[in-house]
Amino acid sequence: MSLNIDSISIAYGTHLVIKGLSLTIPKGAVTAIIGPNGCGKSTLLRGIAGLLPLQRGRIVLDENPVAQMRPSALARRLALLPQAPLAPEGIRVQELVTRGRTPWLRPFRPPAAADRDAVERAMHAAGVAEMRHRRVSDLSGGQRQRVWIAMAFAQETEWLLLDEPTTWLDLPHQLEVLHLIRRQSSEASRSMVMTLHDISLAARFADHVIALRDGDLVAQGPAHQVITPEVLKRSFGLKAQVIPDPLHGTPLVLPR
Amino acid sequence: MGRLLIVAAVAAVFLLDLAVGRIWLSLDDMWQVARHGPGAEHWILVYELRLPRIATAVGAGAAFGLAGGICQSLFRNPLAAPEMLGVTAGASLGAVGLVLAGFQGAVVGLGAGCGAILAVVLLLILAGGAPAVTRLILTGVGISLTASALTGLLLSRADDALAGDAMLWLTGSLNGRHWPQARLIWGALLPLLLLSVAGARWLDRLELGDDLAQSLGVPVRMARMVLILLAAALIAAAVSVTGPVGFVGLMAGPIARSLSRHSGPDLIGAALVGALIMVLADLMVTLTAFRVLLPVGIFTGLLGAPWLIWLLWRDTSERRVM
Repeated sequence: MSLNIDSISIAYGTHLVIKGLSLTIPKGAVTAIIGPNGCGKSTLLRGIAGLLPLQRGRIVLDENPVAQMRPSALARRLALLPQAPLAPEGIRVQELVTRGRTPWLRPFRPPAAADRDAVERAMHAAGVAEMRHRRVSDLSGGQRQRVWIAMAFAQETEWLLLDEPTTWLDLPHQLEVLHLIRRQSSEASRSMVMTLHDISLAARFADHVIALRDGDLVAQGPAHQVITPEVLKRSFGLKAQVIPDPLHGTPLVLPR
Repeated sequence: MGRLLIVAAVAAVFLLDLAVGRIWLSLDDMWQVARHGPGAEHWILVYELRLPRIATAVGAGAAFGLAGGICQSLFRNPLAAPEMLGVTAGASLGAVGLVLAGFQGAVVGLGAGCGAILAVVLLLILAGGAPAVTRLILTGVGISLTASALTGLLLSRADDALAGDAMLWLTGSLNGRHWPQARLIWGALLPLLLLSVAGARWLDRLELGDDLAQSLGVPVRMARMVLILLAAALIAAAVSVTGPVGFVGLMAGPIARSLSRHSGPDLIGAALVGALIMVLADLMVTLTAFRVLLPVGIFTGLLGAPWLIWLLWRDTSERRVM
């Protein structure tokens, strides 16, 4: 039971971004995808979520090919939080989080009791319950990101893909968001897949790390196996030393 | 709360509009008409002349408002107007062509309808289905400009009297609208209104951006296509009975939004505000009709624009206080 990516190719127009990539993403874990800018991290996530057509290959979610699933059926099992979602003008926190229930709503019916419970759970998990009546546009960057994550939690999918959930946040807020994702993964036993820029943070928070370069796989596995000087050289072209983090024991990257 | 208030306002202005004219009617006169039917003294005046015109005003106003609300949400721009789809200009070209060829009456409305359908088909072909929002807007504006240019060309080469008729049609008018027009607009409005309310959930989700909407299970391309066709059908129906009355579609949405407590598009509210603007404008046409019957399109602009500016001003000054 996992997410199987079987020799997929994805192109924007004629430009091939992902080239025959094969991967297995483990279920119930936190997976981080790392790689230099433009290596196809976001494209991979969007391809998995069915937002981009596959030129070749297939993606299989627990034995069901994603391409054959209806959008609403897929949306009950897998959610994607894009890098720059748009908040409608004037929307308030609770209303936005409730939008996450869309695939579970019955046509022409307001949210049911189960939906309201899911929204409550998600808002408490993400620590945004106290600001439920505030306008999303009035919140700080860190608060706003937690609201979007609450919306994705409320969708209650087994799989949650997060595209750069920490961009534009300062370090304390990056840690806050990553702790939140980690906690949700273990408490609600959800599989999280996120793209991250910070390699040391990926090493600290992810069970499984995937390193890409030019739309191709460089390495995958537990952080201590993937985050090594050789992989960093091949993936990022970065000369770096890797030492065990004195506090957490996870790999810590020291660029030269 | 706000919505009830608008309904009451529409009803009040509706009655007032029915009473006002060359012959002023009292509430009692109208009650007699309602009670005695065709036998009543003012039956022909009320039932054959005023009622169909006002019913057309309410229906067309609601259709313009609803189409505007859909477009503003779809284009993620509070100042988007249904004119941006190019459907209005297409309808105008069709109608002006027929007026200049010497046709009058219902045939002109039919020409407007055909022009509107042609424009939306062209829009969907040129924009490649229902792709990114910007491409859709640019294509729509392109079609709109082209059709307007062709209309201008036709007008410039036409004979003066016919060109005058065509210009009058282009301002939008309710003069001489009878039951066939009222039936047409209501027959189109009611099913389209139901479909729009059903599509409102898609519209809400599309406002989150295409990626997120898709991730929430919305079939983005199909949803956008359906919503464009709905807006286009509403505009086509309204334009074919009243001509391209300006500003109603532009103003109804923002006014409804600022009256509503919820965020997001308030389609029913936009339809109600559209209807209100239109009957108010018709009332003003009747009240100023001492010498000539001015076209209703002049008053929709005169009425709605200051209202819209006041609402925007109020919203920004409230924000500043907070």
